[in-house]
This record gives sequence, C-alpha cells and structure tokens, in this order.
Amino acid sequence: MKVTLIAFSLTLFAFLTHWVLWRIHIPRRQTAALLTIFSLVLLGGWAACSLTSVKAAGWGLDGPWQYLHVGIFHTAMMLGYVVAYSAIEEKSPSMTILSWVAKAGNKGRSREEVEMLLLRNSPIENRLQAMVRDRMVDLRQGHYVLTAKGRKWATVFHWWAGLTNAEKGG
Amino acid sequence: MRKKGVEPVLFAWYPIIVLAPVLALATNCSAHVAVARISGNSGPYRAIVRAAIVGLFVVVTLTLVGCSRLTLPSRDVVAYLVLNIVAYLALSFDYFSFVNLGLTSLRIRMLREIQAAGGSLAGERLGRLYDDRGLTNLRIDRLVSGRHLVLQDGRLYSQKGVFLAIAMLFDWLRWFVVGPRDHQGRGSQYMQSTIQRGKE
Repeated sequence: MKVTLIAFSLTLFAFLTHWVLWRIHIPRRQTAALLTIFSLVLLGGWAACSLTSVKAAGWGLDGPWQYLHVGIFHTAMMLGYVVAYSAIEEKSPSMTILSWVAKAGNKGRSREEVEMLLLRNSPIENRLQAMVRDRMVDLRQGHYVLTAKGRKWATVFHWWAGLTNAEKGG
Repeated sequence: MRKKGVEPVLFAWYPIIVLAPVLALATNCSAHVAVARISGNSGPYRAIVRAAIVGLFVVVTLTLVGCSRLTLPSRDVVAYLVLNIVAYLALSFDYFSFVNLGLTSLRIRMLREIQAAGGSLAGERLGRLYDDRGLTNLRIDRLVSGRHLVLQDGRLYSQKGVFLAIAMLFDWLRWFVVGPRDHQGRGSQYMQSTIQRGKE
C-alpha cells in the first residue's frame, strides 16, 4: 500500500509542478523540460524516502526493490505523459480537421475550405524543414541527405516494419 | 510470521511483482510480432490490441501469483495490482505510439524513402513523390472512408464517434495544461489566420 501511495504521489507532484510552471512560462524545449521535471521529482522522492525522519514516520522505502518499483511506475508514467503531451503540443492534421468541421455544426464545411486549411500550412515542406531542424537529414545542393541520426531512425523503423509485416506509413 | 503494520520485506517473490509491468511489456512486444506475422497485413491495429491483452494477462497473473506467495493482505494485493496495471498500460501506450509512428508518420516514411534511394534524394523528386494536395486529399478521404466525416452534396459534416471524442479530449487537455492563452493550440491559430487570409 505504502509503495503505491508513494508512487502515485510522486507522479501527481511532478504533474502539478509542470502544470504550475507552464502557467508561469512555457519553456521553448517542452519535452526536455518535462523529462527534467519528472526525473528531478523522482530523485527528490527517492532521497526523501531514505531520510531517517521520513522512515520513522512510516513513509520510508525498504530496500532497492521498493525504490525500483516506484522508479518503474514513475518512468512509465513520465514516458506516457511525454507521448500524450506531443499531441497536446501540436495538433495532428486529422484532429484539426475533425474539430474544425465539428465546430461548424449543421452547416458543415466545404471540401475546398478543408483543403485550404491544410494546404496553406505546406505540410510536406513543414515536415522536411522539421527533419532538417531535428538533424535527421541535411539539405545539400537541393538533395536531402540522411544524417547518422536519420539513418538510425530509418533503420529501426525499417527493421521493425519488416518484423511485423507493416507497410510504410504516411 | 510478519509483524502487523510492517511493509512486506523483500522476499524472492517481490522482485517478480516489481518487474511484472516490464515483463508484461516484453510479452506484449513479442506477442505483437508473432500475431502480426501470423495474421499478415489484415489490420495492424488488431494485432496491437491482441498483444496488449496478452500483456495485461501477464501483468495481472504475475502480480497475483507474487502477492499470493508473499501472503499479503488483500488491500496490499489491490494496491500492487493497481500500481502494476497502470504502469503496464502506460508502457503499452508508449509502445503503441512507437508502432503507430511507423504506420502513420509521414516523416518516417520520407526517411525510409531517402534510405531506400541510397541515403540521398533530390528535393524535386521528393516533391513529386509527395505533394501537398495529394496528402491533403488522402487525409480527407481517410476520414470519410473511416466514417469520421460524412460527405454530402460536396460538404463535410461531423460524425460523432471515438475519434471526435479524442479530438475534443485533447482540446480540453490543451486548455487545462497550457491554459486559456493558447487553449486552441497551433492548429486553431493556424485555422484562424487561414480563414482571415481567405476573407482578404
């Protein structure tokens, strides 16, 4: 019971810390900031649970396996939240269309309006720019060239798609 | 005999309870590969769901067996069960997102296209392979064929469903997490500027 309460409390505390900080200022590198906040809260929680006074009050953790139990839960929640946050940070085109059409109610939207909504954003150009920015590819004399990082990602997904018989995405 | 009120100390079975979510995730991944290979290309998401259920069975079984070997009181059993199931669901969500990225991400598709061309591809050729209008039409067609939108007399109407509920949920989460100053997200800001430009 104690391990469960500590694990849930630490995750809740990390979320609240992030929520309050975001109300004050939204950092430029949001994912990195989230990972830092959650990791620091875990380390702080572990340190607090090893204090003699906390242990005397019945809230200490006993032995490495209990620390690991809290750590596995917290890390799983942190990664899950970071993944979900990417959808909060940037809306996908399909979700954008769905909520935009829903807001029009009974009037609906013409297909041209929806096309214009997405086309003005130059989706292909935006993605290529993002890939250059993330150093997945380099743009050299009009050619997109895979970087070492991009090659690793492409290989991982190629290997995984082969393993699971999946088709190319997009 | 264990003293009353003392947390069960670390017998041989406790590590099994601790590692149950990770072992269940490993089972989930293995089961997904096996189911996907056996069932071929008949719906990738079906294989993901089946594998996730197998993993869920593993995490529940390992936790219950571990707790019963430690003869824990029922409130501790429930607490460990809740802790491990939630951890496993979070890990499964991460795995699903990884698989989904490979299935739906345009960026990953373009990376693989460049790799298949020997690691370098002319921007002009990429532009021919992927054009904005084709991509936009594909998205709209997918939403219509998936019955998330209805196309009637050239106009698109919203169809109530899980996808729309998820879109609304993320709108609400954006408002809750980021606050009212940016609650509509980049997509809506973009929409408003697009509509404004359209009027001009």
